[in-house]
Amino acid sequence: MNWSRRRLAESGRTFVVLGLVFTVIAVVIETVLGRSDSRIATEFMLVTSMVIAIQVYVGNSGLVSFGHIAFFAIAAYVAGLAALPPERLASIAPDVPAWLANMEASLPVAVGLALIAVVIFAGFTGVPFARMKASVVSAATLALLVLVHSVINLWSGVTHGPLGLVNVPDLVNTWVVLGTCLIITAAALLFRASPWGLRLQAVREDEVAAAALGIPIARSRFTGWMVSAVLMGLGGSVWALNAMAFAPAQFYFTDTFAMLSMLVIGGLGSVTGAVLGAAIVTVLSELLRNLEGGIVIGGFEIPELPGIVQMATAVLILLILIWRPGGLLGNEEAGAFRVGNVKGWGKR
Amino acid sequence: MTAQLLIQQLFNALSIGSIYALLALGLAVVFSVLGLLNFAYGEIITVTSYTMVLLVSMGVPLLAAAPVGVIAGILMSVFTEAVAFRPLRRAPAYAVVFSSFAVSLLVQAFIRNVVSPRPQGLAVPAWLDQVITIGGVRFPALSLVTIAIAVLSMIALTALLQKSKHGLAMRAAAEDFQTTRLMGAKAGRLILLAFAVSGTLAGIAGVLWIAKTGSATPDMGFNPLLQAFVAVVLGGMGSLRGAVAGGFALAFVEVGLQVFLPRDFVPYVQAISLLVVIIVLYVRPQGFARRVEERVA
Amino acid sequence: MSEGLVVNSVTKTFAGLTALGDVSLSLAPGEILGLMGPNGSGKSTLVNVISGVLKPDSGHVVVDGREVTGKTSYTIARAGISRSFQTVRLFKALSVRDNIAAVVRGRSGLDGTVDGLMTRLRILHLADEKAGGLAYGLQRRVEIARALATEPRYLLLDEPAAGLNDIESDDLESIIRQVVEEFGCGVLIIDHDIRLITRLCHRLHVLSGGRTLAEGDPQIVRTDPEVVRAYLGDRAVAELEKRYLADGSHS
Repeated sequence: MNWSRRRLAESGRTFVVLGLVFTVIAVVIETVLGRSDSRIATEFMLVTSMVIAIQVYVGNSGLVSFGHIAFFAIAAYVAGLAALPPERLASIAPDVPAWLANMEASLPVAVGLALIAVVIFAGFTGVPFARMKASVVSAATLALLVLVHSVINLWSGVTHGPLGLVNVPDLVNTWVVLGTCLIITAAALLFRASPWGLRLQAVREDEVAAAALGIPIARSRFTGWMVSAVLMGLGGSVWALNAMAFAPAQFYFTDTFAMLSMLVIGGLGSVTGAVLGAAIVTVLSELLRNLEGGIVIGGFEIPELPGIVQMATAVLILLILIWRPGGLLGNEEAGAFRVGNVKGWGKR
Repeated sequence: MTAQLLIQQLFNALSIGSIYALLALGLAVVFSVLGLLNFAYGEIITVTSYTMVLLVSMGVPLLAAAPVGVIAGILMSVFTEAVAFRPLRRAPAYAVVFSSFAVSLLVQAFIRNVVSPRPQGLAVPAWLDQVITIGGVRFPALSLVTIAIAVLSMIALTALLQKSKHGLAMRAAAEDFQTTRLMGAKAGRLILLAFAVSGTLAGIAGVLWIAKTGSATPDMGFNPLLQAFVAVVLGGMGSLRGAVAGGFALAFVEVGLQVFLPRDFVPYVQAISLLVVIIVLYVRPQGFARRVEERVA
Repeated sequence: MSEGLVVNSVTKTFAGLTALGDVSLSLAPGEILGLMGPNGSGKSTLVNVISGVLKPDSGHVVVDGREVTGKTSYTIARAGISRSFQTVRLFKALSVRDNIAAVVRGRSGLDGTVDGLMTRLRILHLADEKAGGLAYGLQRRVEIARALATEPRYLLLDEPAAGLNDIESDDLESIIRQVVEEFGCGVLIIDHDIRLITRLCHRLHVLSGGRTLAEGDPQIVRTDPEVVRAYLGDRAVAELEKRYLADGSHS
């Protein structure tokens, strides 16, 4: 097939850089950080891995999707339901089918089931979405998000409605989180370098030209959609088994917007950008979160500002879009910068 | 299903459909000129509603507050164009999705902080609350007014587009929005006009919406946005007539589902109508529109 | 199976305006056909119809015996047609190499094929440059290399020499000749450069107001009074006739 050694090399170098970053964070969590900081850092790693998953579709296709959170939701709920022992499920979600309720799944089984569920759902929705005109897809994914959210909210017999699932077994430790991040990052970089990734990028750049030169538009978009969904399912299910409690509100606008803004700020077209954006938004959120409740600084009382995190992120996005529409890193990966020639890989 | 019930439900669907059609039209006007969707569109409804709530609470009669509300809606629409669209004219298409979405969130946050996160009520004057009953079928005055205003607005818009110089320019621009987007100053005035028209339609819809629901919340704009979008997609993107048809079709689907679904499933009406839309798009990606010029997939 | 690209009585109207009226032409593999005509005569529209970007109102487009009228541009591309665009439509954020590699169809030895094309078009030294940042003339060459990467039976070039100076234009001419010799594809080229067209093309086809005005041998067609009138107006025809009468030779 049409694999390009040069692109693979760039992805490889980027993986080394990002993998190192994740590994360092994991080590710091295990050795240095206290309880609450550990939670924040672990959450950061998992959220970042999901942002990378979204980047696989949004960055390579140039189509904004609000619906990927729906895959996250499905994965989280399936994994949670599978892992919860039947006695805890009986009271909160009585309508769950027996085979699922009686499971007290281990990590691989819970994740596996979540992935199957996501593949089925993404496959069913992916076909019409891949055929849609580009200008409509974004709004259609918004409808998808609403659809899934409302079903989760209403189907209380299975999902426990607005109250969500609680006491989900904690099957995840720091190394599992690290492994998840590494797998998702590797897959994202591999896809980007692959012939399918390249074709999708060509479609992103100029759909009319791509079609006129024989690139299958819908098929390319569908491939990106599926890969992205599967990775989202992986990140989402591990997240659920780490968070141990979650509710439908988790999988709606606030989080969608947060993740998408990480992408926009860091750079839609690159995996490194996704990580950078995630870092910036996370730090910003943590700093501003302290302001939300109203605080006193040197004698001045700053009043309660609900939603200031969101406002600040929105303003930041607008500024970035006006100043640097491609995001901070645009399409560049960490591996794009290299010193001299790399021996043995490609010719000049 | 008695004839009485049928007529009642038809009337309901007509009334709801009028608002959806107006909403869809407003969204479609901008789309037909720019090829882009305005994700802050729902906030036009929000701004109009809060303006009306404010004025009515100060004692201004509804009829006087309504035009002011519409003007507020136009201002919101034009503001969105200035902040989220104009500076990004050369940016890739997806940038506008984010920028308009950001504007939407900012407006919601602003209202939450400056006004209140809690719902604000609007008192509707007694004469609008009346119901005319003919042969057992209820015709609420507000619904009649809604249908009348919506139809008049749509006729006025058609006249504007067919007869006036600006209307013709807008239709010409609709032929090739890539070029329109890049054209610069001259197109700028045209785009501004499109947003103003969009704001007028949404403003009128907003007045009708708040009169009907009686309460304004900061995130109220999301539902209208979704309905408008669904209607526009069903009707075939960029087709104004299709948007109107899509609006009524959506209303008929929703009312139909509410009537025929077993009681337990009624809360799922929105979810099911969205599912229906996705299926329609799978079978016929171009919606009701007759043909698509640049077919790619 | 019959060979050749055949366009049969194609008509295309836009909101009442006839862009193409009953136009027919044919192109054989190995042949270079020049498509000429004043601005607005329908040349690009014709190429858009052949390549499937536009759908004709009536008429047929047949590629090697296969009916492709009204099919998507993807299907038509897969049937063996490739093209460049009047306004260069490169994949701007991608490198030159990736622009070409993206359209190559399922075979091994990708790097070799792509490098070979870049060498032939003399853009190998730009392989890792972003396509969007290149000078206009170079972008045009990348577009041609990319169009060739699909191994087309018929190549449609829409004003490939626009904005090129004489040297670049001659360069382009020799590249196209080489390509036809080596790949055996048929080439349809739109251009205004009369010198280039008459030297390069085996045949000419002239459009005016969406209709076929003249076709045939380049030398004959270009001095056809109807053709000259279409391009330059009646005064030019009078000039031409004066020169004929004066020294009895071609001008």
